[in-house]
Amino acid sequence: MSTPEDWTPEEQQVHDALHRAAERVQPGPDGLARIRRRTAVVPMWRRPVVLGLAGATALAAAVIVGGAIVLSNDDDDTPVATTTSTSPATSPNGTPTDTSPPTSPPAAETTPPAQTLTVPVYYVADAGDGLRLVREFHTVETSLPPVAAAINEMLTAPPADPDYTTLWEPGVEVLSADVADGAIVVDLSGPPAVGDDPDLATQQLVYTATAAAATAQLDGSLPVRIAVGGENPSEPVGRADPLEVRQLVQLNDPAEGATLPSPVTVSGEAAVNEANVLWELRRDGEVVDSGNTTAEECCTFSPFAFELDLEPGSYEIVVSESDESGGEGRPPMSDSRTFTVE
Amino acid sequence: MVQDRTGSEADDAVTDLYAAHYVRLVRLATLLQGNEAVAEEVVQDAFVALHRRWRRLREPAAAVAYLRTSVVHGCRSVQRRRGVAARHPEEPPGHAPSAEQVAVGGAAADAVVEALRGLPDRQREALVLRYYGGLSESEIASAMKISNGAVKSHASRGLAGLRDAMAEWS
Repeated sequence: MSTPEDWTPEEQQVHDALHRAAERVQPGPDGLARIRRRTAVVPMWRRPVVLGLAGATALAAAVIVGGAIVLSNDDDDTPVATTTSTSPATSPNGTPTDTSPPTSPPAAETTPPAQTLTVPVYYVADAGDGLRLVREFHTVETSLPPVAAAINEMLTAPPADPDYTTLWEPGVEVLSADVADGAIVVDLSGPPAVGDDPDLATQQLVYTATAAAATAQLDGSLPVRIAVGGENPSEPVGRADPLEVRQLVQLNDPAEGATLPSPVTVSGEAAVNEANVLWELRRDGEVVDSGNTTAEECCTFSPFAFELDLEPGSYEIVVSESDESGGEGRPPMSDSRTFTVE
Repeated sequence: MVQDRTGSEADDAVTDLYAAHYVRLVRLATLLQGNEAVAEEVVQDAFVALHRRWRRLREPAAAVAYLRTSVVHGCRSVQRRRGVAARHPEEPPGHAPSAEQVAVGGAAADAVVEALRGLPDRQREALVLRYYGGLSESEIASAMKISNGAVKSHASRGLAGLRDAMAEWS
């Protein structure tokens, strides 16, 4: 590591020049006030949820599909084959679990046996256009039914991908998530603290709950009502338009940190112009290969996949939409995974 | 309530970190992407994100590293996002320098900053983080989310890229 003592005259000049240029920059006086305004917490359950409508309006003004705001049952949240190494109704030690007492949640009634579930869990990531929803599949050992298990995972487990984060602060648990009166009623243990984007935080929960419902052969098009301690369920909230709230390029495989043999199948979903998906393969931050592939359909979420023949080592794969605007619009969205070829 | 206490801890942390780091981060962001108003937005975004994540960061060192990474990432996004820049008039960093500043080498600084602007993003980031940020190689690696080796190579290629411009005034 260089220190000022062993810098070359050239390095010293760069140092001096940068400091001189930097010192001319004088930030405005109201930065802290601006930050404060944005971090002030507005309780989510007291706010009308407007995102769905706003999304619909923006969609009409934009380009593409009309209307399709609710999730159909044959949704894209079906877990991908490679992540489901499940063996339902078998406990970790391989014996039926109905004889052993459960370790997990407080059981007022009979606790159902633990089982292995692969659940879709939505998080958020900033791919260059502000935060948007992203999804991982988590395999969990649980005695909760699938929708509650997915929400529990969202509330308690960090995302595997370091680029992802959650809008939900820890400390809140899911008490139940049941279908009642044409909605999925999610009952939380306490009022959630969700930071400065309560609408998107709500959608993180709504997407997770509805995706889990669809995966569990329930009706994934139902809206969600959020209650706290069983009281005052909110108005039903449906999924906002995915083109407005989801990251438009989403990798499913490889999973973050996976170790796998070559050839490596890279797959995901994208809603992109001309169905064109670009990819870059990196090692140590340097691009070693790149190319493009096509999603099955243009402009709406549809699957893409391609294969890479790789020598052993660590890689990062980055997939992105192409930048149609020539740099005029928002930056292209991307998703990335690091993985190891054995 | 739990979230209230965390909320006010996060508020206090933001206040302290703002006092200690805001100006430097805005200057860093200005060097990285060239526009002072955009730099302020990027740094404010970083503080807002930090506030949201406070529970998971907790200690000041992690928080500063998080702010730096966010700012580098934010500037990278902005580099590609002319939409935001269009809301603010184009201006070189340190617009309207005083006569004294020019006299003590403003022109030379401008030449370097100008040349910096022409470098690929990663090279510019490595140079700014090292020579303005004063960061160690591994701090730079974590801010840029790349390996130490990659930091070295970006920095040395960046320096080589600046050499021409510097030759004119050194």
